[in-house]
Amino acid sequence: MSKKNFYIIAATLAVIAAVAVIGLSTRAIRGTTLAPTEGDGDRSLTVASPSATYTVTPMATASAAASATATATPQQSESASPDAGQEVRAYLLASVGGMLYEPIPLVGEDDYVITQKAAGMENVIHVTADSIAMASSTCDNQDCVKQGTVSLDNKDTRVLQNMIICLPNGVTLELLTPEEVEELRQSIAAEQ
Amino acid sequence: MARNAREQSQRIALCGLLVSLMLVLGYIETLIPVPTAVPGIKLGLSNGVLLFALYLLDIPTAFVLMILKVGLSGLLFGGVSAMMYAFAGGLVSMAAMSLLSKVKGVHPITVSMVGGVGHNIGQVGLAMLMLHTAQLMYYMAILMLVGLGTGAVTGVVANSVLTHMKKMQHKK
Repeated sequence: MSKKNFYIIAATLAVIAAVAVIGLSTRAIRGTTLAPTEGDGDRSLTVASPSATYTVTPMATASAAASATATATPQQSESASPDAGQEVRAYLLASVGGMLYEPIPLVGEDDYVITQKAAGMENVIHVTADSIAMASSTCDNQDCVKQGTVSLDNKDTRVLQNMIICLPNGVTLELLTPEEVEELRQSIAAEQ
Repeated sequence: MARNAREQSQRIALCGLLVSLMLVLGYIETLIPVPTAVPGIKLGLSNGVLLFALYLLDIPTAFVLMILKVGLSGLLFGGVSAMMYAFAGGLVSMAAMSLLSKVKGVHPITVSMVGGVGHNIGQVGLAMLMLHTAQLMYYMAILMLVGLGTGAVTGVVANSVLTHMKKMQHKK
C-alpha cells in the first residue's frame, strides 16, 4: 500500500480536528438573518401555549435597531410577559425559516406551539424553567423529537450542544442562559 | 457492432442492478438502530456500491447512479428535504471520490473513507446554509469522524468485492 493513503487519512483527520476546534471556538457565531424592514407585522411568529400566547417578533431589524437603542427595553417584543418577579434562568431562542426571533423567557412547564400556516407545519415544544424538548413535529423524519431534551445541565455536553434542529420544517431551537441572550443582543447590535 | 450492443445492454442491466441494490441497502439501513444522541448517523452502505461503480464503470456513470439513488430513495422512503440533503452529501462525496480514485496509488478504502467524510461535509454544509448558522461546525466534525469510520467499513466491503470482480474479469 502506498504511503499516499496514510497521508490522505492523516490530512483528513487534521481537517476534522480543525473543524472541531473552529466549531468549539465559534459556538456563539451565528448567521443572524434579520428580517427585512418591510412587512414586519406579517413576519411575527405566534407561539401559542395553553397558558398564554406570545407574539414574538424577529430580532432587531435595521430600522428597529435604531428604535431599540432609543427605547432600550430588551423584552419589549413579548406581548404577554411572564411574572416580572420570577427570576428567569433560561431562554428559548427559536429560528424559523432562517429567521431569528426574540428569545422567549422560560418560566415554567408549558407547551409552545410554533405554527407555519402557509406550509402546514407545526412544532410543539415542551419547556420547563430550565429545559426545552421537541414534543412533536409534523416533519417526516422526526429527528428533532429524537434529539431529546436540552437542559441547562446537559447543553454543553450534547453533540448538538444547546440546539434542537428540525431540518424539514426549518425550525431550530436553542436554550440560552440570560448571559448568552445578552451576548447575542450585543453581537447583533455590533453588526448593525 | 453486435458485440458492442451486447456490451451496452450488459452495462445497462448492471447499472439497473446497482441502483436497486443501493435502494435495498438504503432501506436495510433504516432498520439498523443507531445512537439517537447523534442524529444523522448512518452506515451509508450504498457508498460502497458507488465506489464499485467508480472503479469498474466510469465516473459519469457513478454520478448518474448516485443521482438515481438519491432521487428514487427520496421518493420511496424520505421526502423532499431528505432528498435535498442526500443530494448535497452525495455530490460532495462523489466529487471527492472520483478525484481521488484517479490518483495513482490511492487505495479504494482510502477513497471510501474520504467519500464518507465528504458526504457529511455536504449534508451539514447544506444544513448550515439552510439554517443560516455556523453553530453546526462542532457537530459536523463529529459526523466527519463517523463518516471516516463508516467509509472504512463500506470501503473494506467494496474493496473485497472489487478484487474478486477483477479476478473474474481476467478469467473471461
